[in-house]
Amino acid sequence: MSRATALALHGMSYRQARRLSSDELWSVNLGAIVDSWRGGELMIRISAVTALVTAYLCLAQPAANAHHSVAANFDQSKTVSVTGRIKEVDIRNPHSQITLDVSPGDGDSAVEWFIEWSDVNSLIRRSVPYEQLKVGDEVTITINPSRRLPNVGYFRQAVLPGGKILRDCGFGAFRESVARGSTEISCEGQP
Amino acid sequence: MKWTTTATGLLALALAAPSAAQGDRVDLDGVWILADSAKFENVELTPGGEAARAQYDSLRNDPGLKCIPASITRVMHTPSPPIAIRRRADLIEIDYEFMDVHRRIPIKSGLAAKEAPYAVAEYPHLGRSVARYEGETLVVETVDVGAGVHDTLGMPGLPQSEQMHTVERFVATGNRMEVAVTHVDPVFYAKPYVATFSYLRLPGGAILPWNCSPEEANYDRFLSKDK
Repeated sequence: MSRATALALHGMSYRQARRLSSDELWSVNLGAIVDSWRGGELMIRISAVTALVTAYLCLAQPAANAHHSVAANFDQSKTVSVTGRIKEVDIRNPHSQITLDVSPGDGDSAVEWFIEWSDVNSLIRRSVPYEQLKVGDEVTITINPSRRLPNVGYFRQAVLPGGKILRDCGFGAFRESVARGSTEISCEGQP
Repeated sequence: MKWTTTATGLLALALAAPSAAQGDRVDLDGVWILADSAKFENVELTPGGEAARAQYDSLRNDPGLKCIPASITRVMHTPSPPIAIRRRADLIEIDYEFMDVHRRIPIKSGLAAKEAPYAVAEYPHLGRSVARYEGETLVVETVDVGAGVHDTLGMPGLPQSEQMHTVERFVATGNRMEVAVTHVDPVFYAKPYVATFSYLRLPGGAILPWNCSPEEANYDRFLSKDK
């Protein structure tokens, strides 16, 4: 996809489009990416689900993506780390969603976890490299659990194969950058 | 009626109040993002309002699940999507990225809000609006909104009746803008309440398409798991 196409399809400013790498330009074509992810082959192997209630992310800047009211639907005082294999990644508006196949670890069938995330427009503005989440990869995702629904949570960060951490510093960090006169987001000062 | 008298008085104040902001005023044109959490003050529901709010279920009744913006206040309450403002000769254009809301508000002396066209053609329930300037303060008055859910965030399930009347006051100073919205709704609110939104100018910013799809926005896939 060309920068001109990114501009035309997504109403991006030239400045925004100019900063996109080749991979990011391609990833702007979300429909194609979603289709390719959906077509990915699933391998289900699971690790444990670890529940952690820690102060760590309680103190973190919330993702502040409240289109359906994150605070109303997800318990931001709790974090849970879920390890599984990525089944689907849908980066879209109003919410992105990652589907994770998680094994209970006792030989039973895998259970699907639905992990909600920010809207695609915000992820683009925050330069979050969401394309690093690939169908079939085993990852550990830290979430805020749903207040009502089992196996549903809100994305905080992911540990990718090889140990690399995919973080979303959130809208709070973005607006702090803007207040400093920059749209280059920095995670400095974020837990 | 005491409430009506008080409400009318406060609404008159909201309509007539000079801008309190000081400093180097700038025009409102540009792209803006929320600088801080919105502030909702004096929210006091009537018994009818409390009853309506008690019926709200965030997994089922949020209009956003059907890609419908509940109200302009709800649209502005969304933290991350920016808004863009442009002044034309005889109207104000406000584009809200959230839910692709494109609002067109006439500036016409003597035009009553109730006689104005619907400000968002695709969403008539967002009401009829008319704009004017008081000095450098943009004032937007809105009536004829649809009854239903008013807001789904800080106090999820706030209702609104068809009688809700709002007055928005936009003031920009440097790279900051403040929008104070006075809401008057005698059916569901015991007194007028004010929501204040503080914005930062987003240099080089643009409004991106939202392209919300109800099939993707709803929680139907989760509801079978509801506890």
